[in-house]
Amino acid sequence: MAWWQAAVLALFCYLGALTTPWALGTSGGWYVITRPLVAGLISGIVLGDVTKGVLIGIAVQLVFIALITPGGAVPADLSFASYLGIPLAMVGGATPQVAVSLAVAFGAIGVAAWQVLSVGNAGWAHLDDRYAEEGNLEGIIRSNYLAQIPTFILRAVVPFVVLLAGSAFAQDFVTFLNKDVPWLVGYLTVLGGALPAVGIAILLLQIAPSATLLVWFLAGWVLFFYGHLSVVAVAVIGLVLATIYYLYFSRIEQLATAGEAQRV
Amino acid sequence: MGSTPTAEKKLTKGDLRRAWWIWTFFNLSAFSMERMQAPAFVYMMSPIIKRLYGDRPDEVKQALQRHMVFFNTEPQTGVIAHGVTAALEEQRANGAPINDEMINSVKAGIMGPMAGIGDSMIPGTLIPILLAIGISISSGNGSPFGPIFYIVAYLVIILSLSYYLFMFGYRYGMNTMRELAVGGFRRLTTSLAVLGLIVAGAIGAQNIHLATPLTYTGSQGVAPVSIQTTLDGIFPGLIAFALTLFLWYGMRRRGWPINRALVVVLAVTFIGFLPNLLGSIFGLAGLKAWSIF
Repeated sequence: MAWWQAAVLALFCYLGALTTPWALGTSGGWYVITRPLVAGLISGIVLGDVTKGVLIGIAVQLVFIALITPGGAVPADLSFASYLGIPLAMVGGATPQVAVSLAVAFGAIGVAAWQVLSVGNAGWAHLDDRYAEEGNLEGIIRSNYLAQIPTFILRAVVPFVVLLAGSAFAQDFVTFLNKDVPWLVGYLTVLGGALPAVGIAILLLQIAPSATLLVWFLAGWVLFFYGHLSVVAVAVIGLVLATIYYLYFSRIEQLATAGEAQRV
Repeated sequence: MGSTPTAEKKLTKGDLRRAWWIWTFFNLSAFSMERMQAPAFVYMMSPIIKRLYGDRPDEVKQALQRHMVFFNTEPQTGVIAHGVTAALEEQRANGAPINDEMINSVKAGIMGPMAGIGDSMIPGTLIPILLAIGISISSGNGSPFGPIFYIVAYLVIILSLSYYLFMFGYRYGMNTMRELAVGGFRRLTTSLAVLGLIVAGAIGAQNIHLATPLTYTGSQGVAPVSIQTTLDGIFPGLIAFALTLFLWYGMRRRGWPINRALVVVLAVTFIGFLPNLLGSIFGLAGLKAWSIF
């Protein structure tokens, strides 16, 4: 990897970080640039192989498809998973399955980095308290910009160094994996296939208010296998069913209100 | 109307739009565990504070201190609270009896529920659906159109939704929560959950790969039976389905943190793969045949 490639990828790592404002804040950064699907495309363009980048991006995305960050609790750090895991896997010539395991490992390391940042940033809030007492609005506004310095160091400078140093090492490492320890690749492949279960389980936890609603999850699963439908087709059926569900309950509520009115 | 024309303070559409843009860009820029989105909230309020209290330094001071308190919500849909706050500040600047406690309790009352609903609607439902469509466009061929679809679709939907919710909060002010209840908010979120769960089922079925290479050999001369083929005949993707529900059960009923769920997956796959691992290292083909994964 040339130094400019490492620099561009590190810049995207920074732009897509959870706390970076420049790319439409969380909407354009964390939820777009840092999604592995998008990071795969960007890594592919920068490293000169779009097809390979997108395919690896998809494999990594599947593990993190339902990543939710409730109250700033980051279960896996997508910034490092996407912009260290994907490029280094590409440079090392890893299969998508091995790339997934690499991304998961970087994601785990990144969580520690995120925790340091989100605790250290409290300093800005304390500074802002003083500005608020003085009625210094400009000071508070400035702190929103100054807070970008630690984010930039963590999300641009560190990744730049890791990408440059790691790319020389990545090829040998992937070769070593494939030649000397094929059983480890076998295990990482099994693990990469099972990890999406965590993301789906978190999603179920988040959106199903009661266990009975899980029958809809079963319905989606069965439609995919027995109906031989694509995910998009299942989503369309889901939309129809959700609309029926909504109208049905509107009607029930109407009847209930009418019943109340009659009794009165 | 009865108000005196000189004293009436009114936020312009431009002030509100500016506040929304500032928030959209800076909502987490100075995020910390201690105060979360408070510095960004004050920055968002800056055009509003300048318009309403620009000529009264003591009021500016109070407003800054009022909004430097802990604030956290789902940044893209929680903006409904920001719109309500803008409306309340406007009424306050025009002499309505609204104190700090009132503004802060309204903010806190909206930010909590909106964090839960927003998380389940946006990263929980909308994003996985759009990603699934993007993935299906580029799966196998690696074309750039899947990611491009996701980028465009997500930004168009989320920016218009977020802008709408901000202005909705401003328009209805204190009546926002009542408006939401009348509008069947609970009904809407349950219906969205139905949609999200069906999509999650299809995404899970497509993407969780956990199959067993185990075979059963009966009497000699008869071809060995693949256990996986047998399982697929009963219920396709049975092992993956069972693992997902097991993780859900652990997190919901036993309160596992997410890291615990990851460790469980590591342990289950490792134990299942152990015979293969040991067989490879010690060169025992017989042992490898007993590997579950």
